[in-house]
This record gives sequence, C-alpha cells and structure tokens, in this order.
Amino acid sequence: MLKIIWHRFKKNPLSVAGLAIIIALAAIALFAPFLSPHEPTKIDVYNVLSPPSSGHLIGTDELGRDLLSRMIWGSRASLKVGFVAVGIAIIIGTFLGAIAGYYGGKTDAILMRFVDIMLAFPTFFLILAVIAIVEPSITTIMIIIGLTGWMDVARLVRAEFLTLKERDFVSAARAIGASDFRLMFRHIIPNALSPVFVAATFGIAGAILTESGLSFLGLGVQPPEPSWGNILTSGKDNITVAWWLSLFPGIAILVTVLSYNLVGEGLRDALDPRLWTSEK
Amino acid sequence: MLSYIIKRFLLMVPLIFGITIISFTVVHLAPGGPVEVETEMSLKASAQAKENLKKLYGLDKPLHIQYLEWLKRFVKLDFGKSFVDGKKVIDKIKERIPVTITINILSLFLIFAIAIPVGVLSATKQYSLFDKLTTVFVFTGFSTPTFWLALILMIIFGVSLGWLPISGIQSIDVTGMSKVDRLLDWIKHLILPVGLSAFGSIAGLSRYSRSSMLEVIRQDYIRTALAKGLKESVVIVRHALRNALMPIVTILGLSVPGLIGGSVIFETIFAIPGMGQLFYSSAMSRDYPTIMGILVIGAVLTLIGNLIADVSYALVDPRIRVRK
Repeated sequence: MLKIIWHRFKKNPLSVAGLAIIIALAAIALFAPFLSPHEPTKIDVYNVLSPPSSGHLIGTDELGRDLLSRMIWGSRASLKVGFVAVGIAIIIGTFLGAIAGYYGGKTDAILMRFVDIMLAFPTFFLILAVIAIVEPSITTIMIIIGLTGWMDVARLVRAEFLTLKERDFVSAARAIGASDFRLMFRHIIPNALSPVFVAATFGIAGAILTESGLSFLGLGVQPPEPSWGNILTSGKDNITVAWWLSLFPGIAILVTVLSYNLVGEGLRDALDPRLWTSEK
Repeated sequence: MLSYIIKRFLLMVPLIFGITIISFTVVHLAPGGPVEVETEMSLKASAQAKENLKKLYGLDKPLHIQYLEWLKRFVKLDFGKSFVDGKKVIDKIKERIPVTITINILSLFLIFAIAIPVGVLSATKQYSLFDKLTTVFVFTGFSTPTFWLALILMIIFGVSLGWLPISGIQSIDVTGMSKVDRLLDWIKHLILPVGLSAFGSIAGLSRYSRSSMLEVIRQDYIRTALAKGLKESVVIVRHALRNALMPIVTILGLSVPGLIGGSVIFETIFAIPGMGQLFYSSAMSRDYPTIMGILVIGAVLTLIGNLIADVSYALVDPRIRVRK
C-alpha cells in the first residue's frame, strides 16, 4: 500500500522537492545546537544591527544577536506548533466527525450546527481573544490553533462515515457483534483516513502561517525564545535600517509553508483512488 | 425567491445565538479578569477595592445571569461600556467599522476582478505557459505570510522609493487639501493595505475558478455550442462562464471571515484606525465588553456575507430556488 502511494507520489517532482525540504528542516530543527554558529540569545552590544558579513552570515538583530542562529533555533517553534496544533485538530475533528457521521439524526444535526457556528467566527479574532486573556506562549498558541482548526477535518470524516457505514464490511462486523465503538474506531476510521492525511498536511502549512502572524503581533512565541514570526517584529521596528531582519525570516516561512502545501497536493493525488484505476 | 431569503434569514438566528454563547464563554471563563489587570499595577489594592470593581462591572453575579443580562442588551445592540475609557462599545465600533468594511469591500472587488479572468484564462489555455505561471503564483500566494509581504513592500515602496505612505489612512496636512487631492491621498494610503489583504484570496480564488471552468468546458452543452459553429470566445463568455461562476459566488461568503480576521494584522501594520486595530488593543487591555462586541459583530458580518453569497447563488441558479 505504502509502496503504491510512494510510487504515485514521486511522479510529481515538486512534491518530492517539498518533502526533501521538510526533511531537511526537521533535521535543522533537531540538530540546531550543532548547526547554529552562535548562541541564539547571546547579546553583543558592539555588533548591533550589523549587516550580513563573514562573522554574521545574514547579519544581527537590534541586540546584536546572530540572525542565522536565531533562525535555526526558530525553526523548532514552527515545527512544534505545526505538528502539535494539527494533531489536536485532527483528534477533535476525527472524533466529532466520526460520531456525527456514524449516529446521524439529531446527534449529527447538533454537531454540524456547532461546526457552522465555529466556522462563522473569523478564526483569527477568536484566537486573538483567547490569547490576550490567557498568557501568550508557544503552548497556548499550539492548543488554541488546534481548538479552532478542527472543523474541516470533522466535515471530511463525517462525509467518509456517511458512505462507509453502509458498506458490507461494516455490516459484516456488526453481524458478528462488534460494538459501536469498535465499529467506528477499528473498522471505519482506518478507511476514512486518507483525506485526513491530506488535510493535515495543508493544516500544518496553515498553522505555521498563523503562528508566525501571532508571534509577529507579540501574541505567540515570546522573546528571547526565537521564532520566525517574532524576528519579523524586530524587522518591522527596524524597517528603515535593517532589511535583512525582514527579508530572511519571511523567506524561511514562505519556503516551509510552500513545501507543506506541495506535499499536500502530491499526497492528495497519490491517495485519490479515482486516479489509481485510470492508469497502470 | 422571497420565501427562500426569509427561510435563509431565519436559519441565521440559532447561529447568532450559538455565536454569542461561545464568545461569552471564551471571554469569561479565561483566568485573569479585568479586575486583575487594573489592580496589578498597584499591588496594594485592597480586597475591598477589588470587590467594588467587580460589583461595578457586574462580574460578581453568576455566569448565566451575566450572560442573560448581556443578551438582553445585545438585542438592543448595547454591548455595555468599555473598561478602558468608559465609552459605549457600540459607539467605538461604529466609529471604526466603516474603514474596515471599506477596505474589505475594495479587496473583494479586486479579488474578483483579478482572480476570475486569470482562472478562466488559465483553464481555457490549460498547460500553456500562462497556466503554468499562474499555478506557480497560486502556490506561492497560498504560502506567503502576507504580513511579511507587507513589510517588504513597505521597505520597497515606502522607505526606498518613497512612493507610498506606510501608515494611517490620510496625511497629517490633509485639511489644507482640495477634494481631489484628498481623494488621491486616501487612495495612496489604501493601495498597499487593500492590495495585500486581497493577495492571499486572489491566489485561492483563481485556482478555484480555474478548476470550476475546467469542469464546465468538458460538458456536453459546450461541445454542442462549439459544434454548431459558435465562436470559441462566445462559447466561453456566454455559455461556460455563467455556469462556472455559480460555485465561485459561494466562495465570496467563505472568504469573508478570512478578510475580517486579516484586518487585525493589516490595520496593526499600517496603523489604520479600523475594527481590527481596535480589537487588537482591546485584547491587549482585556477590555471584555469591547472584545465581546467585536467578536460577535465579526461573526455576524461573516453570516451576512454567507447570506449574500447564498442568495446570489439562488439568483443565478434557478435549481437552488426551486429545490428549497
């Protein structure tokens, strides 16, 4: 199965490139202590806002901290937020979507109205309201991005359940006495997961964008802990004198998010069974 | 048609009700209230003083009573008074909302004016160079943090070239200008914010109209129209476009929450005195009544956007009207 998916996935060179970049970024985040040329939080008053040079490859910030090192360490924040937030969203979305799709009727109606209500909020408003009240931190935003991002997954899983629950293998399992819980989680969910994987990949891209936006507003990852978003805040504060503070973190976000989107696109094609039969 | 609109309108009521419950819960269950903020400045504030503050704001009553009282006033659009300056929340919002709505409507026009022709063109010329370039643009557009793009454009057009102002919606010396100059000044201030808030959606919508168009031009009636000798341009514009546009209309509704949510970032970056900036500063000072007011109004605006989208969908597609 995995072999088939990989075989189809690698037909799209851009998606493969995206996957390579994601793996490289994960490695950078993992080995940050060995890769970063300087301490990311070491203040150097003699080298404040110095432009890119051989000592500091892409310059320093307003406290003389090495930008490259801060960006290497900052990749950890993006990665953490992306995966944890999407993990939370998927657990909630799969669970509620499964219940709504499996039981149908009133349960379904109530849960889906709840989804509609959540979707009516400008998500950024809701996130901002909560974060301003709870102390902003990387943990807070991971949880909140997750809690406000599960609705699409719930709809996808529900739609899968609606068709899957009528299938013969489910009836067969029910006939031999499997409980509702077992039917849902052992039999149906494994078959409903491919659209969830695709949504998760796009979700990580979205979560990384949201995190950078929040950190940029000072409501996400708190300095001195570096994140690409909060480096951009100092980019804005020093916009007239230090272009490098604005340029490089933005490119990092762009490339990362683009990679996840490309992988998501490739995954969607690779997992779509309708496309499988059309070729040999 | 009228009965459809009324029915669609009534469906909004339970949603609005749900929206108020969620906003109320979110804002009130969170630890650290407005009283804590006001007293943490002076650590010596007595327990008695804190009690008085709580009573003043009605925070000492049980939560459901607070909610019912709030709901009663909400029906009259009375969101109470701001904790920060004692002004009525509704007045504060009224003052700020025109700027935000103007920018959002201008962006919506820009989105549709650019995205639909681009999408249609790349669909009719599928796999051409133009189509490939659009696809690249779409993916980059999806992935660009727009607040960062805002910074870069501010550096280029505001700082280096000095062509465009980088903050506010009017120049300081605006009072001495003629009407035309004033309008030009206003346009100059809005180019970057409007363009940028449209940017992300342009990418999304042009992708969407491309695939919608691709689906339509494979239909039999298009082949029929071509077969009977109509010019391709006529077929595209008269036959295909009308059908391809229908699902695109619904996207209008879906893009509203994103635009409104994005106003927080743009208005903060460009120092535009709109609802987004008000929301940001209220959130920073834990101004509950204002946060609640904006949260609810933002959600209601989204619902109105959805309503407009659904109604216009029904207008262009008779099948929807008849079915419901």
